[in-house]
Amino acid sequence: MIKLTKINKIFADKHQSFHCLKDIDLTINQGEFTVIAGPSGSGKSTLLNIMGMLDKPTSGNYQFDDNDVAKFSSNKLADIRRDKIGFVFQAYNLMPVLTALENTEMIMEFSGVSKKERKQRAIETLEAVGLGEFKNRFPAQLSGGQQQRVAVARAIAAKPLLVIADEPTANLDSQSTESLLDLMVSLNEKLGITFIFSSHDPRVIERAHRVIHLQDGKVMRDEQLENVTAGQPQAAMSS
Amino acid sequence: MIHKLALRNLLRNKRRSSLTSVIIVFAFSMMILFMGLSDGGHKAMIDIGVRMGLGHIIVQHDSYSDDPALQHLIAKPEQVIEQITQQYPTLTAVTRLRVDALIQAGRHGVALTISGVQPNKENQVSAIADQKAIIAGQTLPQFSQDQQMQRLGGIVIGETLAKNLEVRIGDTVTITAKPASGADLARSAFMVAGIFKTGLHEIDTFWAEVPLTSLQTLLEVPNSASQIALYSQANPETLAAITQQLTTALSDYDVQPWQTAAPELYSAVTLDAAGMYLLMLIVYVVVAVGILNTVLMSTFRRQKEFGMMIALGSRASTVSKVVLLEAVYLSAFSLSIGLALGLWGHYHFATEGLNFKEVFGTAMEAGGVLLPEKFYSILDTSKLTLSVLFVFLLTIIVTLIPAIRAGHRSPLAATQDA
Amino acid sequence: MKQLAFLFLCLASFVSTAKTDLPLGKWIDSAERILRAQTSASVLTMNINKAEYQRDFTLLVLTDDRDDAQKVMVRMLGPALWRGNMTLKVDERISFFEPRNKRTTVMSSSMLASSWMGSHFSNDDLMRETDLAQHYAYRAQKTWNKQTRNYHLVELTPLPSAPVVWGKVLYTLYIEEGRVYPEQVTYFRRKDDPQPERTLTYSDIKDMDGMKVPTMMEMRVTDKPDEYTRMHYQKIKFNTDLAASKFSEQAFL
Repeated sequence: MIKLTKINKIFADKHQSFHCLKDIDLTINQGEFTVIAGPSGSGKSTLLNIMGMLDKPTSGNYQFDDNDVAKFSSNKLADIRRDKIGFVFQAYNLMPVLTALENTEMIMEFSGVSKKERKQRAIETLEAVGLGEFKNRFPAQLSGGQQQRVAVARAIAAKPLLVIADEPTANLDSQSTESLLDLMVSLNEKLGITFIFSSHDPRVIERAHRVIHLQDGKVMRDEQLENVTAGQPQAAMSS
Repeated sequence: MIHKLALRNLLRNKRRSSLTSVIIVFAFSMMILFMGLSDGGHKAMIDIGVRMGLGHIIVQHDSYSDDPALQHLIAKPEQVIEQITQQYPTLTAVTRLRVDALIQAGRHGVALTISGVQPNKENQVSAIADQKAIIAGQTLPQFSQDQQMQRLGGIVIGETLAKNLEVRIGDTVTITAKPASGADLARSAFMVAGIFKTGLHEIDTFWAEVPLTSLQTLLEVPNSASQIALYSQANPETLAAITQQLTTALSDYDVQPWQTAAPELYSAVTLDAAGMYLLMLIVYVVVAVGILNTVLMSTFRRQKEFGMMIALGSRASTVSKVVLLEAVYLSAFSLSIGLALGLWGHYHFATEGLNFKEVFGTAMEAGGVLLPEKFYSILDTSKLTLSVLFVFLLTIIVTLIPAIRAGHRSPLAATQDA
Repeated sequence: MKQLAFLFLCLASFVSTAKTDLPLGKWIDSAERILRAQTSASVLTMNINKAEYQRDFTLLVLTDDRDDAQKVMVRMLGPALWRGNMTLKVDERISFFEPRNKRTTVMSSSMLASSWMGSHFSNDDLMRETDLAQHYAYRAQKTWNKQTRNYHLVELTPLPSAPVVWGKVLYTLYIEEGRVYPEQVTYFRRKDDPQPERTLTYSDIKDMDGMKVPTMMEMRVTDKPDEYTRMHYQKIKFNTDLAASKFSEQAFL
């Protein structure tokens, strides 16, 4: 599903440059539940941004579903993000002026899902993340954990192929972390949605099928854990 | 959803939005009010101006403008009038004879302009010495009706002139002027029939009207006139067309629209209109700056939100639309209220009128042009529609750049910490 | 019909005045001409006393009333600044000459109201010299005797539609040794006004060129009691044969 070949990312301005990612070669298959681990500044977020098509590599090739991402226009990229990728950001990033339900519906509306269907899906998803009764609250009226769950609901409501989450548990207490992880694992298992996380949270790493250790912009270790087969009901993938 | 976003974003900072809105409402309603009052005032200025010894169209001898001598009069003016009214039966025509003369009473004498008028006709079109302007005595037609007991012809003079001459109703004054025939001065006595007050200094001090025939006799120019003044109810466009056609039809004569015949009135009106346009410009700038400020302030604080929308898959145009919609809603809301308020004010002044005398104490004169005592607001629908559309368009134009820029936020902005 | 009645009324009043048998109009005409005779040449001083300024002029005045067209030429002899300024009146035409610019101005209607040489006489007064003898109806108000003089107070009322600016003029004259002398003329704006607007007084009877004439004329305006214009005749020669050329604009140069 994702094939990265010799990906480099260099941040440069007039005075200095920083080689953030160095010759990354990586393939991620559909249905994987992957965690990219590593210390701060190892390049985790940058790698996620590139895989999520939010950022472009300085060099290297990125194939998404066997298409060369570099050839897509920004609108095409936006459409792919809208239709195939769900994002969960570290800082929740909900639209403050929209209710939990509306936040969850927003992307579906942009992709043209009918009003009735998107509302039903959004409610279902919010119920799935345990926020059914809070659907009409605005982000400011929700706790950090609840907001993050809304963000997850928004990411998955449209049933994307891939969910990218950048340190989704960084701001959560352990109880919230556990319930969020339970939710993601079950989505991975039930719907075959591919998850790519960045995290150095052991509770997250513990649940992963695959952990890619990143250090100084290089893949140090790529380990497959034993529960790897648990979440690959490929036949269940429909969208 | 984008409408919801736009509206809720506006409500997000109620103070800023309502402040902007109040400014726009105020500016726009004031603009409508002033637009109506200004146009109404101009119409009233023109209406009163043409009634101050002028006319909508003036027909003169070809050379009269260059040299207003008694040799340059219209002979047999009634024939010319007949030619005109056959073609344009709606026009009211009056004949006038003007001459510089000396008016004397006792040891006082004042050089002034004597206008010989057809009392009954002039009374219908002129505001110099009609029933309303006469503050003492009678109008010329009234005077000539019970003239049986009078041994002299009547004259109406301005209030200031009467003061300067120290005369009152019933006093005798003499008019001395050079007649057409030669060098010697001709004199004739008149009885002060009425004293008028127009508010125009020039006319109240240096103007007198006598019956046309008396002045023709004194000047030895029987059946001649300095000008034929035409009055019309038609709108300015029709009037311009009539003037144009008359210029062709009366090629032997000098046909002038009031704009040419009374350049000071015309320039007063255009100058005032220019002031109005300046005001409109200021309103446009206020609206533009208000909207732009609001949009800039609100987009500046929402860079991350835009980045996130894009990261989540919104197209750039969707984000731009949200920003544009915010401006459109703010401006549409403010303009509607401003429009409603402005129209309400306009309605008030269109029905009640604005009384200059009440507001400023006196009728006002500016540069030889009388500002009317009372006038009514007039709104030109097309002008109003245009300015509403223009302000609306302006809103979109000034918002366009911030909107486009918002649409081109990097999706990476979403990933940065708050 | 009413106009006709009015006409009768006028005629009647005219007749009633005529009944007094006094040739009032003729007297006033004579009184007005006392300083002119057929022709006259005089030197006089004119003192103007106004709130704003005082001026003294010496004038040479020539008159010639032998033709229908009466002629007057006034030449300023002094002071030096004004010397050579001239006013010429032939019948109704008045022209001015200003020697420094050698400019001749024919009086227009707008100049009529201006004062003549800054005095209390207006240009129009020059123009209206014959008004009193022409445009009024006369009525003897009072007659009395004082020494050898036989005084008459004559009331002048403008004739219908006469182009005159006074509503009433009271003319005091007296007859002595068969000649008519003016004494005082008061001008009233309206017939009923109690106060005159201005008063012209003749005095200082002296013998000039063998004739007794008043040699002092004083004009006073009622509402400015401190102001006056006085004409004081120094020398007069009557009935000399003045050349017509003296009364033309050529004489200016």
